[in-house]
Amino acid sequence: MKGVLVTGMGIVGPFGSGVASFERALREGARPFTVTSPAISTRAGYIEAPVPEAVLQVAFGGQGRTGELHPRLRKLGARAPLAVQAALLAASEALWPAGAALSGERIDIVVGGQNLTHAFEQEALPAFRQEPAYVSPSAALRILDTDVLGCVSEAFDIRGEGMCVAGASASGNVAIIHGARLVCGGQADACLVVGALAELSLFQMQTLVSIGALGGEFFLDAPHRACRPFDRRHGGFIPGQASAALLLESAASARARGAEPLGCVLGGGIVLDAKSGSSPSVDGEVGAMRRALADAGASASHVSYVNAHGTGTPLGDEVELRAIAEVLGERCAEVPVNSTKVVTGHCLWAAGVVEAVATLVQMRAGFVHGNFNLDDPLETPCRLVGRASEAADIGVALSNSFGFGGINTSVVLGRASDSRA
Amino acid sequence: MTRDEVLSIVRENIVMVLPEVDAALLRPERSLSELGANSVDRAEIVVGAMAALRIKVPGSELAEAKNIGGLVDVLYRKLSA
Repeated sequence: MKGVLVTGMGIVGPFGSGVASFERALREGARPFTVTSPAISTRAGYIEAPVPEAVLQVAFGGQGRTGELHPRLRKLGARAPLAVQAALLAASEALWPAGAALSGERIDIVVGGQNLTHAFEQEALPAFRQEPAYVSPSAALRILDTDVLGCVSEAFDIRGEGMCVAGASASGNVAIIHGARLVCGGQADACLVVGALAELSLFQMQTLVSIGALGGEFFLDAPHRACRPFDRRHGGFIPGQASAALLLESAASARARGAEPLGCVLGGGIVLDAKSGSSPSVDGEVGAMRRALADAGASASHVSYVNAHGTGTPLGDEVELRAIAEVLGERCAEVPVNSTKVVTGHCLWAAGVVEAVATLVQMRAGFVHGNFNLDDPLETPCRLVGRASEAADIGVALSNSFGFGGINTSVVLGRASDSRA
Repeated sequence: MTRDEVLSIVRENIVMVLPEVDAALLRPERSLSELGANSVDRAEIVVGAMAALRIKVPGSELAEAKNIGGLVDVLYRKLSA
């Protein structure tokens, strides 16, 4: 890949709305996790990092009330599911401050995410059982993952190519890689990449409990300590809600618009394990990182930071540290590694895009955020960042995302000046 | 329930689906399409009004309604039947 510029970033998540509030949360170690106790569960409670309701109320208003957004976004988002609302907010931050607005046929959209509508269906089902005739007709559209794509394209008048791509928890990275390829291939001047918010239904939560993936059981009294990537007391992942957007753009287009480059995507790799289950594999993860570096025309000697997948599941954390150590070789003692999930929770489909934003934010501001719950680190040759954020000079960075079904991905991000686009 | 009450329920549903609509345009001779409603918006408004009135009107009868006044007529007729 010859690389593409990032000329816009947007995010909404548990820490609020906007890249500036995300940077503050990363720097200061905000851990906005809360406990809910649903009646239907084998657990006494779930820990999650939800998007604060007030953030969406301010933007879209309640029914009949108005927010402060552009009317087109307000109409599309006013009665829409959380994934659509969050995507509209993230996309508006990524698209609108970046020089002259982009729209029309020369900009594409890739949405990363799958199975986005379980929570919506869960909410609609009781009324449907009571009286099928009164089911909301717009649900015909709402129950499609592509509703996010349609709403974003209408909101910003984007008429190029568009699609949803999936890769389980690696969906965000899969979207970045496909978006970058579209721009590199010259099909488009720019591509808006959106990581779709995961709003999990109780059914989805229970399945994650049942396969032993969901953590937090022993931290119900201290939810901010529950998400513990690379700590010996990690007990599974903690879900988080966020949507993030990246505007990827060719150098020529950015120059013509006078858009300031914020960084670049240098390459990416997707490698399958040929295994349909949930087990991570060192070989697959090493393969994805090496493929991403090769795609970027870089080697391990260039890497100065790794944003790990680091979900806080015992096997996943251990396997990833082994894979990172293998890829970095003797350099692993000096390259800082952290997991943004300690702040955001595991944002599932959006995680890759959320963590690409986190990587670029840290690169631009010159720090690496703490692994804030790393009280008792796993034994590893890797340099895990401690419990506090620290100054760092990040050049080329790897950002990992791995998904169920043996889907391993890594993207290589760099400073705008590293771009060969 | 009076015909006017049915009209106000229809209006409420229009505003819910089309929050930016100009209230002065919500007159019986206007069609929902003229107000900017697409086909899903129109279905949403009709079903919302049916649910509020606790009635069910088959699609064949709804097809008669060409504007807001026509929709109110169809709903009111079913309500009074």
